Amino acid sequence: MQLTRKKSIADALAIATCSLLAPITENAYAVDEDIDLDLSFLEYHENRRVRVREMDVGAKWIYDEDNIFSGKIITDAITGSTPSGALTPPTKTATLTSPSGVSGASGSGGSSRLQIRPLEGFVDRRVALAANWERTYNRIYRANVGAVFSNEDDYQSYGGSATVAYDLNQKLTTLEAGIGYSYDFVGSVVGVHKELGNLADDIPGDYNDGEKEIFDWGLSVTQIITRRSVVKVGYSSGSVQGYLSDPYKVITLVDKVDPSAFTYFHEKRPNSRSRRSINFDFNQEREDNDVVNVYYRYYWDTWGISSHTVDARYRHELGNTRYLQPHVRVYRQSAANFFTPYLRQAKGEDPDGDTPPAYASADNRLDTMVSYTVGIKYGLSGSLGKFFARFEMMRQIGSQGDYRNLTAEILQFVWTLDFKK
Amino acid sequence: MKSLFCAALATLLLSGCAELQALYQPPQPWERDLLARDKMSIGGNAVEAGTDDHIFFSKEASSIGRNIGGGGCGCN
Repeated sequence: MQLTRKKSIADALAIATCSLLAPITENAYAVDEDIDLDLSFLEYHENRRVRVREMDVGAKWIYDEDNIFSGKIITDAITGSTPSGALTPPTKTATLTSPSGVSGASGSGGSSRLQIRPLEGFVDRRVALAANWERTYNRIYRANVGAVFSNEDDYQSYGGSATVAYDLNQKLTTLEAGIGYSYDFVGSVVGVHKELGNLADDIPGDYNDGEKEIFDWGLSVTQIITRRSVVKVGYSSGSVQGYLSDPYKVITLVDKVDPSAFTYFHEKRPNSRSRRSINFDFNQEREDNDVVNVYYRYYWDTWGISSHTVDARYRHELGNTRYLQPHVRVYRQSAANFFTPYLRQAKGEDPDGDTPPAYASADNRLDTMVSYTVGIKYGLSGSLGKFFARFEMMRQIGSQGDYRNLTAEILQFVWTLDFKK
Repeated sequence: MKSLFCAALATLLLSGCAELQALYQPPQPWERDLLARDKMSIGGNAVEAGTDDHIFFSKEASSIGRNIGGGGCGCN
């Protein structure tokens, strides 16, 4: 009898608890459900070179405590001119006899004069779409799958990624592993011609699109150190296979006997590249609520390039709703082992001596380089969401070539709207 | 003599570790309020980080690091 009574009390309590919990759970889900919208405008401008205008629209839908969906549309337009890799000729424009009309060529047919400008003008548009789904299991496992598609006038990319994260040690530690894959089609408005082929030998219409596969994976550990500090240490590795040259880049062969006689070749890079990096990210909040972030990466690859990146930000709070964040980034890289500003050979002395190296590129991005970036960001939050504007200046200093140095300005506005349900 | 020195050193190290462990108080689950705010997220603002990744990827020779995947781009 006593047992029956106990059971009935337990049942009654259970029913009461459930009736109390049901609406609370519904409310909890209703509160959790949230949609964020990110609107971003970017203006990137290089001194007398490239100009990029980019618009991004991103949305994040927190469906419930276990599912988050996000998507993004990126559109940008690039105009201006970029170094072709060609040396600046002694006269205004270097010329050579060409059977074809390719980039910069005037006229057509066997008598045309091919003009290669050290700075080649171009226009390109890009649209990229990305989608992600993050799923949480048992509050300690998180899986994230994503897909991305990018289309340019002369380039298409199809990619996907997946990561899993596991919280342990009372969620003080997070282990994360991820993989990414992308299959890209490399085209160009002039086609992808024979690598290290003489531009004068290009045949109109006789070219193909290049293809490449990119595979990356990485591991990381995130550790909460104190109530105000967290650190993440990661290792990434990847490989790229396929057509890795830039179809627009050329390299100049300077005749030893007549240094003003230039011959132009398409550049050629190895068709595989393995790369690795280790990185370290640290966040510390000070007692006055300002936040210091320090990031370091060491990168190295099979092309002989290694680099150090140090990036530091200091977020200074201006009251509860505004902040100012200075930013400094220093980057240093060594050159690819096939980088050369030009080729020199005894063509005049030995007509049969046309034996170019296995790989050669005059792309300044593969040269020894130091890059400095400084910037300032101003952010505020209010009833209309969060907003920030930032301005950055980047200065690249290379070691060789006429266009080894670069100055660029970056201006970005980002507005995040929060639609809580 | 050498083993005595090693034992003394080990004892010193162990006691030092024990003291450090006693001093170190990791934040409890109910003390994650500060770390849960956006400004403490590793990697910073995702839109800003994505923009920077793309710019530096297109202008430098190094590419992987903070993020995995993300798709290719004809800019480099």
